[in-house]
Amino acid sequence: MNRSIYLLKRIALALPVILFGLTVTFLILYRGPLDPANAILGQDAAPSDVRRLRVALGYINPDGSPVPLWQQYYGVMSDLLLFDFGNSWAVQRNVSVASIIVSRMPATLWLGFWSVMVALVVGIPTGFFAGLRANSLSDYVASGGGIVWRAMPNFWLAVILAGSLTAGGLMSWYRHFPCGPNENPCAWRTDVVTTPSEVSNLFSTIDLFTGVPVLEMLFIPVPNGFNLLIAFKWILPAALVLGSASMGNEIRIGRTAVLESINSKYVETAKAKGLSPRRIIVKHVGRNAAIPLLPVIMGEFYLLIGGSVLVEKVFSINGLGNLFFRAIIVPDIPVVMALVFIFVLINVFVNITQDLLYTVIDPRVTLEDTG
Amino acid sequence: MTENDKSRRTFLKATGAAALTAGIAGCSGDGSSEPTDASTETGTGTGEQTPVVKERTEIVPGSTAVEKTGEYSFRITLREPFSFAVPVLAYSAFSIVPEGVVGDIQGYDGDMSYEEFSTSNPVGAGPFRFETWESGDGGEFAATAFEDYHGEAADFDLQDAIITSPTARFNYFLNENADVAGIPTEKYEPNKVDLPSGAGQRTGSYGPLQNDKTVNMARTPTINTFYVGFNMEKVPKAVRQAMAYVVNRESFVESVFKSRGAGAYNLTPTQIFPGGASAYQEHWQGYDGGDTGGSGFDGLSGYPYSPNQNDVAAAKQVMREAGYGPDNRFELNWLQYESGTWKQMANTIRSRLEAAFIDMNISSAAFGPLLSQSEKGQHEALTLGWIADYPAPQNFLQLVDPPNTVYDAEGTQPNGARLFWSEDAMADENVRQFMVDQFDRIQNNPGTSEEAKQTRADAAVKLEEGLWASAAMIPIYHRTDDLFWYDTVDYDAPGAMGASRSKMVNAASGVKGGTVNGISATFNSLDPIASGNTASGGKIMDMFDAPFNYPNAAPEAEPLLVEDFEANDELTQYEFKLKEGVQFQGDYGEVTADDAVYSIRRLVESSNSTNTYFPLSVLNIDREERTVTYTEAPSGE
Amino acid sequence: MASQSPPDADADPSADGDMAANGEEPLLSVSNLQTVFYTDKETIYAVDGIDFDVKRGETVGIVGESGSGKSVTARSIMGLIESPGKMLEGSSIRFDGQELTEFSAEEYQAIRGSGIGMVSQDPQQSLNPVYTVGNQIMEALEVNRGMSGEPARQEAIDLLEAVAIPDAARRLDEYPHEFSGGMRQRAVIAMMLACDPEFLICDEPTTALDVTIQAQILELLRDLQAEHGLSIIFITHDMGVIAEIADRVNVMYAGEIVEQAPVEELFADPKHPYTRGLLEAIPGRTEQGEQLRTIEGDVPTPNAPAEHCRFAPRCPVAFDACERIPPQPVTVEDGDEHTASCLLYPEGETEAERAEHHRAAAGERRRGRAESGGEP
Repeated sequence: MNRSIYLLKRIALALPVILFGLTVTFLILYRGPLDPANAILGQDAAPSDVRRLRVALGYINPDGSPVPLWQQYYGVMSDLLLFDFGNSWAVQRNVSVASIIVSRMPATLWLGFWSVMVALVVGIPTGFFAGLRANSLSDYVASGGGIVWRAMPNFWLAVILAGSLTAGGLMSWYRHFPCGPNENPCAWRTDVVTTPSEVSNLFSTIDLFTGVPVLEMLFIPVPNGFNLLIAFKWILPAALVLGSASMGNEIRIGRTAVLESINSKYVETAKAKGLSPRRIIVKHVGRNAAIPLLPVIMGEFYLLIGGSVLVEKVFSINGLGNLFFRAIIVPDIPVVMALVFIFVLINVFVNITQDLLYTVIDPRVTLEDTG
Repeated sequence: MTENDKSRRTFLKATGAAALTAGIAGCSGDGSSEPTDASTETGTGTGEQTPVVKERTEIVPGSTAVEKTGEYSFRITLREPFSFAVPVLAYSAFSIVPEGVVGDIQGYDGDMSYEEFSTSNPVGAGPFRFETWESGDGGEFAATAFEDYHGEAADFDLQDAIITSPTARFNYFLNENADVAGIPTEKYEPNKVDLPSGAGQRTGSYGPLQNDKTVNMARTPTINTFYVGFNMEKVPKAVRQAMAYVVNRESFVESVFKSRGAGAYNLTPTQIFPGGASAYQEHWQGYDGGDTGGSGFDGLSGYPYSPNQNDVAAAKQVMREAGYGPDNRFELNWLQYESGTWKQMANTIRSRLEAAFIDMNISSAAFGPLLSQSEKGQHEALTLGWIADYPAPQNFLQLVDPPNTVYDAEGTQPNGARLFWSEDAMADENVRQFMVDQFDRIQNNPGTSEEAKQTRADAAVKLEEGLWASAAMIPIYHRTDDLFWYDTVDYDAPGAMGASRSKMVNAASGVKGGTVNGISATFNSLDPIASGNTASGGKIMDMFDAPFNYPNAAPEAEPLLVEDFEANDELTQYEFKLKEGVQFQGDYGEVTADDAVYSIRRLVESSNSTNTYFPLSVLNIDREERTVTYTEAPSGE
Repeated sequence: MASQSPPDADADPSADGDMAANGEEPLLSVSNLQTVFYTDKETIYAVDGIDFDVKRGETVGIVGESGSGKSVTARSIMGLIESPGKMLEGSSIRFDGQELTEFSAEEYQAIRGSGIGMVSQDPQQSLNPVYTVGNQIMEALEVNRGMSGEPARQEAIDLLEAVAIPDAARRLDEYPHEFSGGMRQRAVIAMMLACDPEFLICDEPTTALDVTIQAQILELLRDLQAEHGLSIIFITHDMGVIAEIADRVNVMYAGEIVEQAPVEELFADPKHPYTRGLLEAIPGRTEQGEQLRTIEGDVPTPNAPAEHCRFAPRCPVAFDACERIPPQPVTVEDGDEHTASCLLYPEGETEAERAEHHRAAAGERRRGRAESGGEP
């Protein structure tokens, strides 16, 4: 089967998944114990205000009769599927959900990017290293470290790390690094918690075509080096925490995969062919070891969605995880629905990507076999 | 006096009904806040099924009884006499905004969109002008000093980090990123406190912190009461009394709340208790064994449920007398806000009640679900707190006015505690009647004369005693608020009304660095009429001015935008004269009566208002209401 | 060469030529090879002091049960013994005049492929599943012969054709899983030929294949040997296969070579009781109606240097001395082509003389090891 036909088929099959996910969320939110009107108005709300708000939220008709569930469902779903997310109820009253999400996106993307990078850059090489030196002292250190690292729960690690970065903690120097402790003001200063504005200004735009009609409107985004560095310094502790579990997994699975591959017959055959160890590891071991690693790496994306809630909370990162948490607590149902929708889309996308990647790195997996 | 009580209720309905014809006739049908046309249409629709005809009331746009009486003067008319209009008008929801700034009430198109006003361009006459707001946990809020402020302008700016996690807040403070902050109970160490002894606000020091600094500290008893309330239609009196016996406030305050508060025996907090702190203490001490029910109930002398001790024996006794025993246990559901400290307390109570034949199930819920569940009467025991809207006993005691605790209506009432103290409640009818009567004595004596004050004070004390007798609600503690600050600012900690009622311009001075850095919780709007929590309330206090103000949260309201006011003898009409020459921020010019009228109308009539509780339930501003009948189909298609 | 059994040395021209070239240095000479594996509990003498030669163009069979040390011998020659395995000092592998045991990793890498190739047991796993067959063959060409691009591709097609894979050009772009078992083994052989080795170690190359395919592969190997003048070590546990392919045979038991002989002599006149047992276990060699004989028991794990005959516990003709004296190779026929390590030989001597003979030889051997520092 041709890849694009396969892709279309997968997307078609993903639709019920999306609908199901949204329907379940809808039912939980609309049939569950959450009552936005009370939450928004508080304890001393006048019942008339509560009623008016319920009308505005679409729970009841202006005449007081309840809006039938199917009608609410139809309204919510049709808006969502047309990417019309509506306005926030409580997180930021009457502000469009799309703009809220867009404003929180950079921090989460930045956090997610670096936690994946940290996990990949540290986890996979360490796993390979351990696998190649199986049962040596360095293997014990690396894989033992990986297991310990993996075992530390995110929330605990986050709290400990945040604590030691704080004044009086072991790593409080990090906040000022590389300025001296008494250098003030220090553009590099990292506040441990809260989101610095540099994150939303990672790129500056330059207008190359000033004066040229039409093209004038084009702005070229250019990475803003200093802001990137500041933002990197800021995100590193949180990214370490969020990437920790995946990093541990990658060390573990990477080690096993390498060990399995290196002891296989085809590696022996490759040696018999007179290949250099380097070539054997890079070409023959590497790609085979990547096969079991693929789901681990792709799994990070799910982890990031769930894990970012916690890490963003502890480090007060103004991202989607924090927004999601807040929106559920308040509750702000349009925000929750929109985020769930986006998360489901990401999920589907990651799944399809994973399947396609499988066919790329492992020729034994073919598209025909699916379905 | 039952009639009186009923009449208070029906009064609303009657006015509404009377206004109906006038309302519909007078109104052009262009309701700005609610789409009335649709509902009247369905009312006349012919249904082949049997339609249910229902009624509801709505406020006629433009009917709010607030009028301009001069360039700088305006008048508010109330439906009932009310003596606390001044402190109520100090509430931030009454902040004055430029006339027509947004178009969310009839007659205005708005200078800007509502979204702009509420999130990125709020305009008030307060001491600070809005600068930036990046909403959400991890975001920030900043405002700069407003040079043309009518009072003494601030010589510093404001910057708040928005952080929700208690640990993150504390870390932020430890890093000296914030000048002023609270310390969450879990991070608070009582042994680091160095405060002078005594009542009232105390200032001292706290430390050293883990960053080796010792910070300034102020401990302020704020006007509030946290309590356990019962759904009286579900929980028998014996069970309520049993719980009262095993509650040992002093030990809870010390072990659970780390002494950041004081045990509460009265619902009315110490500061506003008739006769003051000493009267408060005398009132609950020395119980002489008076009956907690019976036909001639006329109050109690002293708190009857073993104060300051955990009296399981008495709890057992009272349960035995009510027919409970080892083979006939009562199952009690306890519902609380998600809070570790309250959970700790609930667990203690549960283990004690086990011996008194009560099996307690503890569940917790977020604030919203907690309120909606309890509003529907799905709870049995419920923990909540009340923080003063205005510093008077009746603001607290209205919580236990029996008719105000039965959630069965849709108007501006009920809004008391969720006790369901109806005639069907498991309570002594005499005591209930006693409560109704005493509350009416307060309602019927609104005046400022010494006699009226005396009557109200007497009734307030009687209400507390009736509450004891019924054990409808068990006051647990009055919280104190601790604030901590570095030497980077000279800080005068806000008073008993709490930090959210103070303006930073009144609290801070001598700011090193020119900016006071604080920490704020998340908030969702900067529109005064939609401010939902203490965090946004605080921001609004800094950017907007209301007619009155509690200077640095002291419990005495003083004129702010208002220069002078007069009330009629019945205390139903208040005329205010605004200060002249007060400037709005931006290019919005002088504050005039038009702005005041517009602002109060918005608070009552706008669909964006989430604070109609104050003008309608508390002040009870006069307004026209109309009844709309509509047909409700038996079921959705 | 359609019917290859019984083997006939005269029918094999390459064998014939080498047999004649007496005194010429063998291509591969293994002497006193000791490969041990260290585990937590014990040291396993997987290969315990074996000696054998392979001459140019010759096929030498190594036969034995599973666990007798055949594959370890092959991997030792390939230099593929890794921790926890180790070749003890005093072991010698001379290949083409070079002492491989003294080679560095890089030197060994150079000798692998172009010098010595290996075809291993399991064609299912010998090819990397994620690369095309062509890729893997061309890789061998690139590394060993410096070929790349179109010439390499053409050569790869030729090689696949040489191992009788039809439609080679198309097959080049297919993955191993698209090949059948026999074709895969052919592909592995083609890949090894791509390295252009002088010497090929075939470690049970036909074991996993069914009988007809097995015959085809054997025939292919013989053809290739004739064509390229390859020397081959052919490892198997199958006496039938040995009979078809080998010129000379080494019988291994528990890490030792118990008998060495030209193939027809071995089959005609096995000397070692173990060899006899093996031959009696081949179906078809025994008389019709006679029950197939088996050797009772299992191969012991050689976890100490030999102080006795390791086969003794299973040996039907063992006597007391077998428990005390490690037997040493003894020439059992005219010439030195046929040796057996058994206390039954030299024939004609008394039991005491034989025992003394072996004890003396064992002592000498131990001294030799001690001098080279090989005795642990």
